[in-house]
Amino acid sequence: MKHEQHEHNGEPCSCGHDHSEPHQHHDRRKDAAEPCACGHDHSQHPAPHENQHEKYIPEELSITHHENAVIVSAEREISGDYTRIKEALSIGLKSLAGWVENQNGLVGHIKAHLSEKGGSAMLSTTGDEVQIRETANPGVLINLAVIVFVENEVGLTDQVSKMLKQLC
Amino acid sequence: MKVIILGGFLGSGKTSVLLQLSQFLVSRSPKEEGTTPVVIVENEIGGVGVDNLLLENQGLTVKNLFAGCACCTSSAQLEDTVSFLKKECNPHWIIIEATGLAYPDKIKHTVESAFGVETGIITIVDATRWFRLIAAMEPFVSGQLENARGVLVNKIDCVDEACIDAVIESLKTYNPTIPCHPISAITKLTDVFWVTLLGSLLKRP
Repeated sequence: MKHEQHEHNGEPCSCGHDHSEPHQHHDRRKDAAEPCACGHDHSQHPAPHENQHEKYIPEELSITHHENAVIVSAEREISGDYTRIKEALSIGLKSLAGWVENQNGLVGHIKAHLSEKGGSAMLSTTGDEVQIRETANPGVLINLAVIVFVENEVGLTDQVSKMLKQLC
Repeated sequence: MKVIILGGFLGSGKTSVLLQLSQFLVSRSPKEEGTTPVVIVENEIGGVGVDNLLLENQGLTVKNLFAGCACCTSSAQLEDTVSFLKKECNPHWIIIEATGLAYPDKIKHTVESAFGVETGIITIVDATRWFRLIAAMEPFVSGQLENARGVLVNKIDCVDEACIDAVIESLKTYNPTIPCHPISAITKLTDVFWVTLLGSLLKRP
């Protein structure tokens, strides 16, 4: 079975994996109580192997790694005014980039996409007039992608969590 | 079907270039029933997409390839994706926006090996950060230039002439023959520019 995680181009590798065994991608909670059944001997894997396991942490952030980059992703719906959230997020992203720089890290990119959520309407009829019930529930769907090179990963996730909390 | 790979480090301006490139290619593609002028493969290293949302809002056909890098961890998925698009969309062009952590040349190799189609790489570099990136990760950043048919030196609106010259001089140390095009992707790039950059790729078979 093909080992998909590394490209060694036929050269001997020093990644620490046992390539004689099937290696499949899988999600495994780092803090899961159940043992992993992937067939790897995790006791022999060097730290970078953690890259293959997506970690789920509070605040609906997911963290992955690639090469030396830390990738934090989040998708969240926040109630409130679009303009207020947009402006607060703009300040938050700038602050996050500054934090990375202060950690002697490097910002790859920090991106967010906002979609405005607005009112909704239910239309119904039994043959007479059409009844319309409208509800106004302003909010924003935020897609966030943070790719940075920084050693303090815990600090990074704290910063991102804090930023998202401040939007609420 | 031809393939263009947009490479370059994170934040270099790939998506801004992609928006303009796709408009140019759509305008030149013949309107034939059962074909799609341009399809975009959007590769994101993380599990949440951002650029794809922007592209979809522009009315472009986008196929997402998330949570992995098409040059390495997701190369098999890239083959599947291109195969699917070829069958379902019959596109004149596929533009693959690589992740900022990808080696575009590896993607080119994967596509050419699997499909035997003409494939070109355009690498975008951020003039404002080039020297910082080279200092921090030279082998990787310079590796993104490999086999590119052109380098777009982006964000020239944010630097002075001397910086642009220095970046191009630096780029030439890694590949002396590579054509370098200073641009600002936030301003309109002309059709003449694209014709010059894409050259023979634009010729119909």
